[in-house]
Amino acid sequence: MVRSLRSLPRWLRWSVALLFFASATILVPRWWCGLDGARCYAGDRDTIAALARHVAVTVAKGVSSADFTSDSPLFRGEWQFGTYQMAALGLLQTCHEHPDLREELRPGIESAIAGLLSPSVRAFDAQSWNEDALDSLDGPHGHAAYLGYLNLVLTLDRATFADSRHTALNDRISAALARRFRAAPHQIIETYPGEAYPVDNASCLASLLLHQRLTGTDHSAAIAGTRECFRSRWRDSRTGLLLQAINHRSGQPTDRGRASGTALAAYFLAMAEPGLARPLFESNRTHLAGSILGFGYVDEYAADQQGGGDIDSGPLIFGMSPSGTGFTIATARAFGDRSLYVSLARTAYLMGAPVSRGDERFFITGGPLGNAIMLAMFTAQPIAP
Amino acid sequence: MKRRPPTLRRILIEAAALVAVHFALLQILARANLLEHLLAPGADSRFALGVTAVFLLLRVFLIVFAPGWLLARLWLWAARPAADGAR
Repeated sequence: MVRSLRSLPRWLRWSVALLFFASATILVPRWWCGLDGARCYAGDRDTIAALARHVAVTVAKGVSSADFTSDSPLFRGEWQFGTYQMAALGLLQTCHEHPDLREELRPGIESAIAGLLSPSVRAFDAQSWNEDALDSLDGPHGHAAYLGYLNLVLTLDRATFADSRHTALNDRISAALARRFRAAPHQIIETYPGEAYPVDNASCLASLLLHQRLTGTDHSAAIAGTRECFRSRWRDSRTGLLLQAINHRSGQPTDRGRASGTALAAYFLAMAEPGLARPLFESNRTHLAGSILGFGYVDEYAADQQGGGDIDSGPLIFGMSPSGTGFTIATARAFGDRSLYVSLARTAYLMGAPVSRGDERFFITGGPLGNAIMLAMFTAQPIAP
Repeated sequence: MKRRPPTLRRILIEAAALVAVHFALLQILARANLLEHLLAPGADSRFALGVTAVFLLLRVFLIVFAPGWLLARLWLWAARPAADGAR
C-alpha cells in the first residue's frame, strides 16, 4: 500500500492533496464552528447558562462609560446603556426558557435594571435633551431610545416575574409613550432633539404592545398609525428594509433601508407582534444575507447601494455588517430558520473567539456590550406556531 | 538547490505550534475588551486593533484553512517519492 502510494505520479499526488485541502476546508470549519450555534438554537441549558452567568456577573460588577473606547461621550453612554439593556433582555429570555435558572439569574437582572435606572446611565440622554427622561414623563419630549429600550425590559420583567418591583414605573412610562405617539405628527417619536429612528420606535411600540397584552390597558388608538408605518411607510419600496432614520417634522426618510436597524427592529417587534416583524426579517434574509463556506453574514446595504459603516453598523468588512449579522441571529431563531441561525453563529464563533472560565463562557472580542448582545440574540424566543 | 520535503515530525510540530500560539493569544486577549476598539476606535485603539487583527487572521487560518493544509501535508508526506522514504 505504502509502496504503491510512493509510486504515484507527481500530478496525481498534488491533485489528491488539493482535493484533501478543499474537502477539509469545506467540511471541518463548518462542522466545528457550528457546534455551539446548534446547541444554542436547540436551547441547550448548559451552553446558555454558561453565557448567561458571565453576563450576569458583568452587570453585577457594574459597567462604566470608561469601559468603552469611543472618543464620543454620547456613544460611550449609549453603549453603557445598551450593555445593561441587552443583558437584561438576554437574562430574562433565559429565565423564560429555563425556569430553573430564575433564582440564579434574577440578581443579574435586577443589577441590569438598577444600572438602566442609574443617573450615570441616564446622563447620555439627559445631556442631549437638557432634561432627565424619567423626571419629565409628563412633558412633550421624545426620549424614544432611553424610554423605549428601558420599557421593553420592564415589561418583560413583569411578564417573567409575577412579583416584579417595577410595575408602577412600567405603567408610567407606557402612558407617557402612548401619549407621545398620539401627539407625534408623523407617528414617530424623537430619540434626541431633531433625530428620529424607526428602530428606537420599534422598542417603544413593542413595549406598548406587550404592556397592553399584560395589563389590558388599551394603547391601540395611540399606536395604530405607527404600526401602519412599520408595515409600509417606513420600509424601502424595493427591498422592504426598514428605513434607518426619518425626519420627524416632515415624515420623510433621511437614511436608507439598512440591515442594522431592520434586524434590531425585527427582534423587538417579534416579541410583541410577529406579523410586523416577519416581513422585516424576510427582507433582511432575502436581500442582505449570504454565506461563505457555511459562515453566514448580513450586508448593511442592498446590493445596488454603497455606504460606509457607522456607530449603528460597526465597521463594514467588504460590505458585511457586524451589527446586522449579530442582530439577525435573534430573528432567525424567532422565526425558526435553523440554517441561517447556525450559519451566523459560526461567524460569531470564528470572529468572537469564545472561551470557558469555570462555569462561565464568553466571547473574547465581545467585551461587556458584545457579550450582552450575543446572549440576547442567541436566546431570542421562538414564535409559537 | 532542491528543497527537502518536510518530515512527519516537522509537520506535526508546526501544527502543534500553531495551536499553542493561538491558545496562548486567546488566553491573553481574554483579559482585554476588544470589541469596543473594533466598533468605535478611539485615540488609544491603534495597538489593540493591531493585536486583534493579527489574532483574528491567525484564528481564521487555524480554523478555516489549517485542517486542509495539515491533511494535504500529511498526504504528501505519506505519498512522497521512494527516494525520500528514509525520513
